[in-house]
Amino acid sequence: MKNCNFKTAKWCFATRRIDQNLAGGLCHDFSQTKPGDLILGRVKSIGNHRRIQLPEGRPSTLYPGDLVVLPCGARYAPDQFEGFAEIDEQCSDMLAGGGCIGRMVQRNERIKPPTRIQPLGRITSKDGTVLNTRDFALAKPTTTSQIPVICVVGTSMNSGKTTATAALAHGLTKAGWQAAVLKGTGTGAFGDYNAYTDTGASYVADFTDAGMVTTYKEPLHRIVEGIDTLLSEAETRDCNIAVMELADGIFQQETAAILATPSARSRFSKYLFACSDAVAAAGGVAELERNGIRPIALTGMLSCSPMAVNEAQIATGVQVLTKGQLLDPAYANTLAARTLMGRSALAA
Amino acid sequence: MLDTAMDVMPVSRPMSVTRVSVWSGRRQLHAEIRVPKTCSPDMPPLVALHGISRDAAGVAGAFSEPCASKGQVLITPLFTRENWSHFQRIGGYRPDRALLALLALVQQMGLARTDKVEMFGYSGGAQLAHRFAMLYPQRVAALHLAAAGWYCLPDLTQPFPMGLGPSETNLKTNIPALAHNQLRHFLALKLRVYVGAEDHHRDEALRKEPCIDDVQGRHRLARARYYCKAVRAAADARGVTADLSLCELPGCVHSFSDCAAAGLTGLVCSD
Repeated sequence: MKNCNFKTAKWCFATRRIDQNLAGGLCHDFSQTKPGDLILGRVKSIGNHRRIQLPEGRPSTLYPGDLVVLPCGARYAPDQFEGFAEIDEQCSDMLAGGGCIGRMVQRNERIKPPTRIQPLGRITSKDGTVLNTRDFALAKPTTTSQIPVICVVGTSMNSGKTTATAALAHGLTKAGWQAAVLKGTGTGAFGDYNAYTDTGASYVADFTDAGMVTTYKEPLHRIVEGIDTLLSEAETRDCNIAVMELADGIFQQETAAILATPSARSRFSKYLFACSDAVAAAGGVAELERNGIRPIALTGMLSCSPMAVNEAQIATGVQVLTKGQLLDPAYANTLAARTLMGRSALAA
Repeated sequence: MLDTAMDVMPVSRPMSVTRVSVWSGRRQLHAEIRVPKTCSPDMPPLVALHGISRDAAGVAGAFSEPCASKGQVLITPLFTRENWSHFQRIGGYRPDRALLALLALVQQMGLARTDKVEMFGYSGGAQLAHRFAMLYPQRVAALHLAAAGWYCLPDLTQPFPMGLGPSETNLKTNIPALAHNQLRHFLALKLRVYVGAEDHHRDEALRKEPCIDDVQGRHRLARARYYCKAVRAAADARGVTADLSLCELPGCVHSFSDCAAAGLTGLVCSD
């Protein structure tokens, strides 16, 4: 593979910050593989992921024999796979469509086995250095950002967090805010990124811009450093408010750690909580209160049902906002006002 | 839904005039944007709202000269009767969203920065102007209200729309709660209230329900005075320093042209 033309490979979305021209060789020693190392692989068999998400924001159908470039990474996805950032040089698993390759340890029973990838090597630069997503991250901030942040958390995957995040970002933009829409944790994928971009927000980024293909199994300090990097970049780009989604549910280990650690959650001014029903709302609000957090509003799938809305508001005392209300600049503006008031109170 | 149409008129005057229109839902809002030949880039544009006679052209004509002299972009929306029969109210209708769409378009077209604007309204336009500012105070650099028929008071004891207390009817959008969240910011705005010193007639256009007469007064002059007192009291109660003045225009009845001739437009633009 000395003369491998890396550009013929399908590079995944999580590699989008990396200049493909830097790829100059392969390292065949997988024993030293670290999360974020770029792996060149050949598709051996098609499983759950039949397509790979490309950096330009479109999916590409995979065929056996295709060359792909995926960063090594872990995966936390209760509706798909759990996997670790480990490479089996005989055959590894494609853990996410936006990129990452690793070892699946368990899967949702409704999901097919993963697409299998034969690793060919770790991609190096011409001088032999293994290319790693960490080396292409935004610069680390030198000062603490002051931008007000509305943090969107939820009960689980598919509770409505991304819909709420995008709707609020659009509402804020309509109200005249220079909004940043950010994803603080999760696994690199273009679905959320594209949904954020479509809102017309002033700046969009996720943890891959901070050098992580996934935040699962990353140490808390590195995740928080990534969040700070994104917020600082948003401020540099003249954003005056940020909406940040934390992936998965509030019991997911990294999200739980962020919310339970005062020094980590101090970045967030206010919280929106997305959930599917009134019981989830009551449980989620109670769980958040254990960390001293009271969301400014509930949203998500719950908000589609007026009866569930009524039950949740009675059970929690927290207002439920629908997608339509988050899209409404007057509602978005009032959330911004309450976020700024919270910020002023903290500063005082 | 937002759609636009643009027609640039020949430039043969101190201000170049661009006509635009935006859609907000099913309703269309037209506007003219006048950009002075010498424009001060950091000066917020003036959005000047007509009254229920919908004489946007008259408003534009009255403000053209003072805005041109000042180097200030002038935006004059036209809420047509067919699309906006009650344009001064925010509730079932959402003229606020149409105005936001218009401001976004003006900025997208590069005609002016609209993250903040000075907002003027006469009569029904003043009603819309202060209601807009109550929802989006961060967009308003200065608020000029002239001869409003009545006001939404910053008073939680008055039911919406007379105040910010709960409405006695079901609202599609909870405007009083939304405005209440913005109240401190609104009360800190630069607010200039104008009214004709002779605007004390109970003409046909004036609302005369007891709920307004008994609290705000029986005519526009009394209501303007009451509004200023109410704003100052609300600001004081919240520890906010109000930046507020009331100007009673000598000899003026309820007429925009009379008020303009008495110096209203100059006062707005010189302040």
